Amino acid sequence: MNTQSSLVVVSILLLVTAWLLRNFFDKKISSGQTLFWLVLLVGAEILTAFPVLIDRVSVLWGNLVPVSWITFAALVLLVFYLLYLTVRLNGYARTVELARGMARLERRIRELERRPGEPQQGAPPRE
Amino acid sequence: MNCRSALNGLVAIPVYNEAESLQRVVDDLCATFPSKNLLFIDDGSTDGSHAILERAGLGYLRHPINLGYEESLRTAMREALEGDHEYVVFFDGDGQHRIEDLQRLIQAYEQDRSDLVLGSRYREADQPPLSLRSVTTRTFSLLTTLLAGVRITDVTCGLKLISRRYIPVALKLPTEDMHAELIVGLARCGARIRELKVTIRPREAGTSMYHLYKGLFYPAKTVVCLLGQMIFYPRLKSVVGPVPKPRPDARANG
Repeated sequence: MNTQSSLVVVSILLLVTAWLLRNFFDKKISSGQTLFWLVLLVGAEILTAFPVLIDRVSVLWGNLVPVSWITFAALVLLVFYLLYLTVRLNGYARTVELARGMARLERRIRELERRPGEPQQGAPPRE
Repeated sequence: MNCRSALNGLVAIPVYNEAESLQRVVDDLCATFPSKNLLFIDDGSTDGSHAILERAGLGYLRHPINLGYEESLRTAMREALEGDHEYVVFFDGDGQHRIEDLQRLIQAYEQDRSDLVLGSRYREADQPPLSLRSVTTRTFSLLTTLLAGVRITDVTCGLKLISRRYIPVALKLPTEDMHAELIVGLARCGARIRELKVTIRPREAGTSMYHLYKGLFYPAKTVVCLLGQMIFYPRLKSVVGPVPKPRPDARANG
Protein backbone atom coordinates (compact mmCIF):
# COMPACT_ATOMS: atom_id res chain seq x y z
CA MET A 1 0.00 0.00 0.00
CA ASN A 2 1.51 3.32 -1.00
CA THR A 3 1.37 6.48 1.13
CA GLN A 4 -1.55 7.90 -0.83
CA SER A 5 -3.70 4.78 -0.24
CA SER A 6 -2.71 4.70 3.39
CA LEU A 7 -3.82 8.28 3.80
CA VAL A 8 -7.19 7.54 2.20
CA VAL A 9 -7.76 4.48 4.43
CA VAL A 10 -6.68 6.32 7.59
CA SER A 11 -8.97 9.24 6.67
CA ILE A 12 -11.94 6.90 6.24
CA LEU A 13 -11.15 5.17 9.54
CA LEU A 14 -10.86 8.53 11.30
CA LEU A 15 -14.26 9.55 9.92
CA VAL A 16 -15.80 6.32 11.18
CA THR A 17 -14.14 6.92 14.57
CA ALA A 18 -15.60 10.42 14.70
CA TRP A 19 -19.06 9.07 13.76
CA LEU A 20 -18.75 6.44 16.49
CA LEU A 21 -17.77 9.00 19.14
CA ARG A 22 -20.57 11.33 18.05
CA ASN A 23 -23.11 8.49 18.51
CA PHE A 24 -21.58 7.64 21.85
CA PHE A 25 -21.93 11.22 23.09
CA ASP A 26 -25.49 11.31 21.76
CA LYS A 27 -26.10 8.21 23.91
CA LYS A 28 -27.05 6.11 20.88
CA ILE A 29 -24.27 3.55 21.43
CA SER A 30 -23.35 2.13 24.81
CA SER A 31 -19.89 2.65 26.32
CA GLY A 32 -19.02 -1.05 26.03
CA GLN A 33 -19.83 -1.21 22.32
CA THR A 34 -18.03 2.09 21.70
CA LEU A 35 -14.92 0.80 23.45
CA PHE A 36 -14.95 -2.40 21.38
CA TRP A 37 -15.19 -0.57 18.06
CA LEU A 38 -12.81 2.15 19.18
CA VAL A 39 -10.08 -0.40 19.95
CA LEU A 40 -10.62 -1.98 16.52
CA LEU A 41 -10.62 1.32 14.66
CA VAL A 42 -7.57 2.72 16.45
CA GLY A 43 -5.77 -0.59 15.86
CA ALA A 44 -6.63 -0.47 12.17
CA GLU A 45 -5.50 3.15 11.95
CA ILE A 46 -2.13 2.35 13.57
CA LEU A 47 -1.58 -0.67 11.33
CA THR A 48 -2.50 1.33 8.23
CA ALA A 49 -0.26 4.24 9.20
CA PHE A 50 2.67 1.95 10.09
CA PRO A 51 2.54 -1.08 7.73
CA VAL A 52 5.84 -2.34 9.08
CA LEU A 53 3.93 -3.40 12.23
CA ILE A 54 1.81 -5.78 10.15
CA ASP A 55 4.97 -7.52 8.90
CA ARG A 56 6.37 -7.74 12.43
CA VAL A 57 3.17 -9.30 13.79
CA SER A 58 3.10 -11.73 10.83
CA VAL A 59 6.59 -12.93 11.78
CA LEU A 60 5.55 -13.25 15.44
CA TRP A 61 2.49 -15.23 14.37
CA GLY A 62 4.63 -17.77 12.54
CA ASN A 63 5.73 -16.19 9.28
CA LEU A 64 2.25 -15.94 7.87
CA VAL A 65 1.55 -13.83 4.82
CA PRO A 66 0.33 -10.49 6.26
CA VAL A 67 -2.98 -10.68 4.38
CA SER A 68 -3.67 -14.18 5.76
CA TRP A 69 -2.90 -13.00 9.27
CA ILE A 70 -5.28 -10.05 9.00
CA THR A 71 -8.04 -12.22 7.46
CA PHE A 72 -7.64 -14.89 10.15
CA ALA A 73 -7.64 -12.37 13.00
CA ALA A 74 -10.68 -10.58 11.59
CA LEU A 75 -12.55 -13.86 11.17
CA VAL A 76 -11.85 -14.98 14.75
CA LEU A 77 -12.87 -11.60 16.06
CA LEU A 78 -16.13 -11.57 14.09
CA VAL A 79 -17.08 -15.08 15.17
CA PHE A 80 -16.58 -14.19 18.84
CA TYR A 81 -18.42 -10.92 18.40
CA LEU A 82 -21.36 -12.77 16.80
CA LEU A 83 -21.42 -15.21 19.71
CA TYR A 84 -21.43 -12.31 22.15
CA LEU A 85 -24.29 -10.63 20.25
CA THR A 86 -26.24 -13.91 20.18
CA VAL A 87 -26.01 -14.15 23.96
CA ARG A 88 -27.01 -10.50 24.33
CA LEU A 89 -29.99 -10.92 21.98
CA ASN A 90 -31.23 -13.86 23.99
CA GLY A 91 -31.74 -11.59 26.96
CA TYR A 92 -35.12 -11.66 25.18
CA ALA A 93 -36.41 -13.91 27.98
CA ARG A 94 -36.36 -10.88 30.28
CA THR A 95 -38.42 -8.89 27.77
CA VAL A 96 -40.99 -11.69 27.68
CA GLU A 97 -41.24 -11.70 31.47
CA LEU A 98 -41.61 -7.92 31.54
CA ALA A 99 -44.32 -8.04 28.87
CA ARG A 100 -46.16 -10.73 30.80
CA GLY A 101 -45.91 -8.73 34.01
CA MET A 102 -47.26 -5.64 32.24
CA ALA A 103 -50.17 -7.63 30.80
CA ARG A 104 -51.15 -8.86 34.24
CA LEU A 105 -50.88 -5.41 35.80
CA GLU A 106 -52.99 -3.91 33.01
CA ARG A 107 -55.65 -6.53 33.61
CA ARG A 108 -55.62 -5.70 37.30
CA ILE A 109 -56.08 -2.00 36.49
CA ARG A 110 -58.97 -2.80 34.15
CA GLU A 111 -60.63 -4.88 36.86
CA LEU A 112 -60.25 -2.08 39.39
CA GLU A 113 -61.51 0.54 36.96
CA ARG A 114 -64.55 -1.42 35.87
CA ARG A 115 -67.59 0.39 37.20
CA PRO A 116 -71.11 -0.86 37.94
CA GLY A 117 -73.28 -0.83 34.83
CA GLU A 118 -70.46 -2.00 32.61
CA PRO A 119 -70.33 -5.66 31.55
CA GLN A 120 -68.93 -7.83 34.32
CA GLN A 121 -67.06 -11.11 34.15
CA GLY A 122 -69.48 -14.00 34.28
CA ALA A 123 -72.28 -11.94 32.75
CA PRO A 124 -74.58 -13.76 30.33
CA PRO A 125 -73.77 -13.25 26.67
CA ARG A 126 -75.30 -10.34 24.84
CA GLU A 127 -78.04 -11.20 22.36
CA MET B 1 -74.04 -29.40 25.23
CA ASN B 2 -73.82 -26.21 27.21
CA CYS B 3 -71.04 -26.14 29.82
CA ARG B 4 -71.84 -22.78 31.39
CA SER B 5 -71.84 -24.15 34.90
CA ALA B 6 -69.67 -27.23 34.69
CA LEU B 7 -66.15 -26.39 33.65
CA ASN B 8 -63.09 -27.03 35.78
CA GLY B 9 -60.54 -25.89 33.25
CA LEU B 10 -59.35 -22.82 31.46
CA VAL B 11 -60.09 -22.24 27.79
CA ALA B 12 -57.20 -20.14 26.48
CA ILE B 13 -57.61 -18.27 23.21
CA PRO B 14 -54.44 -16.71 21.76
CA VAL B 15 -55.32 -13.75 19.55
CA TYR B 16 -53.12 -11.82 17.17
CA ASN B 17 -54.69 -9.43 14.68
CA GLU B 18 -57.95 -11.38 14.42
CA ALA B 19 -60.38 -8.45 14.63
CA GLU B 20 -62.40 -9.68 11.63
CA SER B 21 -63.15 -13.10 13.07
CA LEU B 22 -62.82 -12.47 16.80
CA GLN B 23 -66.34 -11.18 17.49
CA ARG B 24 -67.87 -14.48 16.33
CA VAL B 25 -65.39 -16.48 18.40
CA VAL B 26 -66.15 -14.36 21.48
CA ASP B 27 -69.92 -14.71 20.99
CA ASP B 28 -69.71 -18.47 20.45
CA LEU B 29 -67.48 -19.06 23.45
CA CYS B 30 -69.42 -16.75 25.78
CA ALA B 31 -72.64 -18.51 24.81
CA THR B 32 -71.14 -21.85 25.75
CA PHE B 33 -68.73 -21.35 28.64
CA PRO B 34 -68.72 -19.18 31.78
CA SER B 35 -66.48 -16.17 31.17
CA LYS B 36 -64.42 -16.96 34.27
CA ASN B 37 -63.19 -20.03 32.37
CA LEU B 38 -62.21 -18.06 29.30
CA LEU B 39 -58.86 -16.36 28.92
CA PHE B 40 -58.17 -14.38 25.76
CA ILE B 41 -54.53 -13.49 25.28
CA ASP B 42 -54.09 -10.60 22.91
CA ASP B 43 -50.53 -10.98 21.71
CA GLY B 44 -49.89 -7.33 20.93
CA SER B 45 -52.50 -6.99 18.17
CA THR B 46 -52.48 -3.75 16.22
CA ASP B 47 -55.86 -4.12 14.51
CA GLY B 48 -58.06 -3.33 17.50
CA SER B 49 -58.70 -6.93 18.54
CA HIS B 50 -58.43 -5.89 22.19
CA ALA B 51 -61.28 -3.39 21.73
CA ILE B 52 -63.58 -6.32 20.89
CA LEU B 53 -62.51 -8.09 24.08
CA GLU B 54 -62.93 -4.90 26.07
CA ARG B 55 -66.46 -4.36 24.72
CA ALA B 56 -67.37 -7.94 25.59
CA GLY B 57 -66.41 -7.23 29.19
CA LEU B 58 -64.15 -10.25 29.32
CA GLY B 59 -61.09 -10.73 31.46
CA TYR B 60 -58.18 -10.81 29.04
CA LEU B 61 -54.45 -10.37 29.03
CA ARG B 62 -52.78 -8.11 26.53
CA HIS B 63 -49.08 -8.47 25.80
CA PRO B 64 -47.68 -4.98 25.19
CA ILE B 65 -45.63 -6.37 22.29
CA ASN B 66 -46.03 -9.35 19.99
CA LEU B 67 -44.29 -12.24 21.76
CA GLY B 68 -45.42 -14.99 19.41
CA TYR B 69 -47.93 -17.83 19.51
CA GLU B 70 -45.89 -20.03 21.81
CA GLU B 71 -45.41 -17.32 24.44
CA SER B 72 -49.18 -16.74 24.43
CA LEU B 73 -49.66 -20.42 25.20
CA ARG B 74 -47.09 -20.18 27.99
CA THR B 75 -48.90 -17.16 29.44
CA ALA B 76 -52.13 -19.18 29.43
CA MET B 77 -50.49 -22.17 31.11
CA ARG B 78 -49.06 -19.99 33.84
CA GLU B 79 -52.49 -18.47 34.42
CA ALA B 80 -54.00 -21.95 34.62
CA LEU B 81 -51.41 -22.98 37.19
CA GLU B 82 -51.97 -19.88 39.28
CA GLY B 83 -55.72 -20.45 39.23
CA ASP B 84 -57.35 -23.66 40.36
CA HIS B 85 -57.95 -25.05 36.88
CA GLU B 86 -57.69 -28.78 36.30
CA TYR B 87 -56.53 -28.31 32.73
CA VAL B 88 -55.90 -25.75 30.06
CA VAL B 89 -57.31 -26.12 26.58
CA PHE B 90 -56.11 -24.05 23.64
CA PHE B 91 -58.59 -22.73 21.11
CA ASP B 92 -57.50 -20.51 18.21
CA GLY B 93 -58.91 -17.02 17.95
CA ASP B 94 -59.09 -17.04 14.15
CA GLY B 95 -62.47 -18.79 14.00
CA GLN B 96 -61.13 -22.00 12.47
CA HIS B 97 -61.88 -24.20 15.47
CA ARG B 98 -65.41 -25.36 16.26
CA ILE B 99 -67.01 -25.15 19.68
CA GLU B 100 -68.35 -28.70 19.25
CA ASP B 101 -64.80 -30.01 18.90
CA LEU B 102 -63.69 -28.06 21.95
CA GLN B 103 -66.52 -29.60 23.95
CA ARG B 104 -65.58 -33.07 22.71
CA LEU B 105 -62.00 -32.54 23.85
CA ILE B 106 -63.22 -31.51 27.31
CA GLN B 107 -65.63 -34.46 27.43
CA ALA B 108 -62.82 -36.83 26.46
CA TYR B 109 -60.69 -35.46 29.29
CA GLU B 110 -63.51 -35.81 31.78
CA GLN B 111 -64.19 -39.38 30.69
CA ASP B 112 -60.70 -40.82 31.04
CA ARG B 113 -58.56 -38.00 32.50
CA SER B 114 -56.06 -38.16 29.66
CA ASP B 115 -53.11 -35.87 30.25
CA LEU B 116 -52.95 -34.58 26.71
CA VAL B 117 -55.94 -34.54 24.39
CA LEU B 118 -55.13 -33.50 20.84
CA GLY B 119 -57.34 -32.49 17.96
CA SER B 120 -56.55 -34.02 14.60
CA ARG B 121 -57.73 -33.00 11.16
CA TYR B 122 -56.44 -36.15 9.55
CA ARG B 123 -57.65 -38.87 11.87
CA GLU B 124 -60.27 -41.06 10.20
CA ALA B 125 -60.07 -38.77 7.19
CA ASP B 126 -58.67 -38.65 3.70
CA GLN B 127 -55.09 -37.52 3.35
CA PRO B 128 -54.76 -33.74 2.93
CA PRO B 129 -53.89 -32.29 -0.47
CA LEU B 130 -50.15 -32.13 -1.10
CA SER B 131 -48.55 -28.90 0.11
CA LEU B 132 -45.45 -27.82 2.02
CA ARG B 133 -47.45 -27.73 5.25
CA SER B 134 -49.14 -31.10 4.76
CA VAL B 135 -45.82 -32.79 3.93
CA THR B 136 -44.23 -31.22 7.04
CA THR B 137 -47.18 -32.23 9.20
CA ARG B 138 -47.18 -35.82 7.91
CA THR B 139 -43.42 -36.17 8.35
CA PHE B 140 -43.48 -34.87 11.90
CA SER B 141 -46.57 -36.88 12.75
CA LEU B 142 -44.68 -40.01 11.72
CA LEU B 143 -41.58 -38.95 13.65
CA THR B 144 -43.70 -38.12 16.70
CA THR B 145 -45.47 -41.48 16.49
CA LEU B 146 -42.08 -43.22 16.51
CA LEU B 147 -40.64 -41.17 19.37
CA ALA B 148 -43.76 -40.93 21.52
CA GLY B 149 -44.99 -44.47 21.00
CA VAL B 150 -48.53 -43.24 20.37
CA ARG B 151 -50.17 -42.94 16.97
CA ILE B 152 -50.32 -39.24 16.12
CA THR B 153 -51.78 -38.05 12.84
CA ASP B 154 -51.71 -34.27 13.19
CA VAL B 155 -48.96 -32.65 15.24
CA THR B 156 -49.71 -29.07 14.23
CA CYS B 157 -53.34 -28.80 15.30
CA GLY B 158 -53.76 -25.90 17.74
CA LEU B 159 -56.74 -27.45 19.52
CA LYS B 160 -55.28 -29.32 22.46
CA LEU B 161 -55.86 -29.89 26.16
CA ILE B 162 -53.15 -30.34 28.79
CA SER B 163 -53.89 -31.54 32.29
CA ARG B 164 -52.67 -29.49 35.24
CA ARG B 165 -50.16 -32.13 36.28
CA TYR B 166 -48.26 -31.83 33.00
CA ILE B 167 -48.34 -28.06 32.60
CA PRO B 168 -45.01 -27.60 34.50
CA VAL B 169 -43.38 -30.06 32.08
CA ALA B 170 -44.78 -28.19 29.08
CA LEU B 171 -43.45 -24.93 30.51
CA LYS B 172 -40.01 -26.42 31.07
CA LEU B 173 -39.52 -28.04 27.68
CA PRO B 174 -37.73 -26.25 24.84
CA THR B 175 -40.48 -26.03 22.23
CA GLU B 176 -41.39 -24.41 18.93
CA ASP B 177 -45.13 -23.68 18.96
CA MET B 178 -45.76 -26.67 21.29
CA HIS B 179 -46.34 -29.27 18.62
CA ALA B 180 -44.27 -32.44 18.04
CA GLU B 181 -41.74 -31.65 20.76
CA LEU B 182 -44.48 -31.15 23.35
CA ILE B 183 -46.16 -34.44 22.47
CA VAL B 184 -42.86 -36.34 22.58
CA GLY B 185 -41.85 -34.64 25.85
CA LEU B 186 -45.10 -35.45 27.60
CA ALA B 187 -45.09 -39.00 26.26
CA ARG B 188 -41.58 -39.49 27.68
CA CYS B 189 -42.96 -38.40 31.06
CA GLY B 190 -45.61 -41.06 30.94
CA ALA B 191 -48.53 -38.80 30.01
CA ARG B 192 -51.60 -40.51 28.62
CA ILE B 193 -52.22 -39.08 25.18
CA ARG B 194 -55.41 -39.22 23.18
CA GLU B 195 -56.20 -37.86 19.74
CA LEU B 196 -59.69 -36.93 18.54
CA LYS B 197 -60.95 -36.18 15.08
CA VAL B 198 -61.78 -32.50 14.67
CA THR B 199 -62.86 -30.35 11.76
CA ILE B 200 -61.02 -27.18 10.98
CA ARG B 201 -63.00 -24.48 9.19
CA PRO B 202 -61.28 -22.66 6.35
CA ARG B 203 -59.84 -19.30 7.36
CA GLU B 204 -62.23 -16.48 6.51
CA ALA B 205 -60.09 -13.52 7.52
CA GLY B 206 -56.57 -12.63 8.61
CA THR B 207 -53.40 -14.45 7.63
CA SER B 208 -51.92 -17.73 8.81
CA MET B 209 -48.81 -17.58 10.98
CA TYR B 210 -47.33 -20.34 8.80
CA HIS B 211 -45.99 -18.33 5.89
CA LEU B 212 -43.21 -19.54 3.60
CA TYR B 213 -40.34 -18.39 5.85
CA LYS B 214 -41.76 -20.09 8.93
CA GLY B 215 -42.69 -23.15 6.86
CA LEU B 216 -39.09 -23.56 5.78
CA PHE B 217 -37.50 -23.09 9.19
CA TYR B 218 -40.16 -24.80 11.32
CA PRO B 219 -38.88 -28.36 10.66
CA ALA B 220 -35.29 -27.43 11.53
CA LYS B 221 -36.35 -25.66 14.72
CA THR B 222 -38.53 -28.60 15.75
CA VAL B 223 -35.65 -31.03 15.22
CA VAL B 224 -33.38 -28.79 17.33
CA CYS B 225 -36.02 -28.71 20.10
CA LEU B 226 -36.41 -32.50 19.98
CA LEU B 227 -32.64 -33.05 20.09
CA GLY B 228 -32.27 -30.50 22.90
CA GLN B 229 -34.97 -32.31 24.83
CA MET B 230 -33.23 -35.70 24.42
CA ILE B 231 -29.79 -34.32 25.32
CA PHE B 232 -30.57 -31.89 28.13
CA TYR B 233 -33.56 -33.65 29.67
CA PRO B 234 -32.61 -37.33 29.63
CA ARG B 235 -34.62 -37.95 32.81
CA LEU B 236 -37.63 -35.84 31.96
CA LYS B 237 -39.94 -38.02 34.00
CA SER B 238 -38.40 -36.64 37.22
CA VAL B 239 -39.87 -33.22 36.36
CA VAL B 240 -43.39 -34.57 36.85
CA GLY B 241 -44.45 -34.11 40.42
CA PRO B 242 -47.76 -34.04 42.22
CA VAL B 243 -50.51 -31.85 40.80
CA PRO B 244 -49.36 -28.26 41.48
CA LYS B 245 -51.48 -26.27 43.91
CA PRO B 246 -52.88 -22.88 42.91
CA ARG B 247 -51.29 -19.68 44.21
CA PRO B 248 -54.14 -17.74 45.82
CA ASP B 249 -52.09 -14.54 46.11
CA ALA B 250 -51.02 -14.53 42.45
CA ARG B 251 -53.95 -12.55 41.03
CA ALA B 252 -53.99 -10.07 43.89
CA ASN B 253 -50.35 -9.25 43.33
CA GLY B 254 -50.87 -8.79 39.59
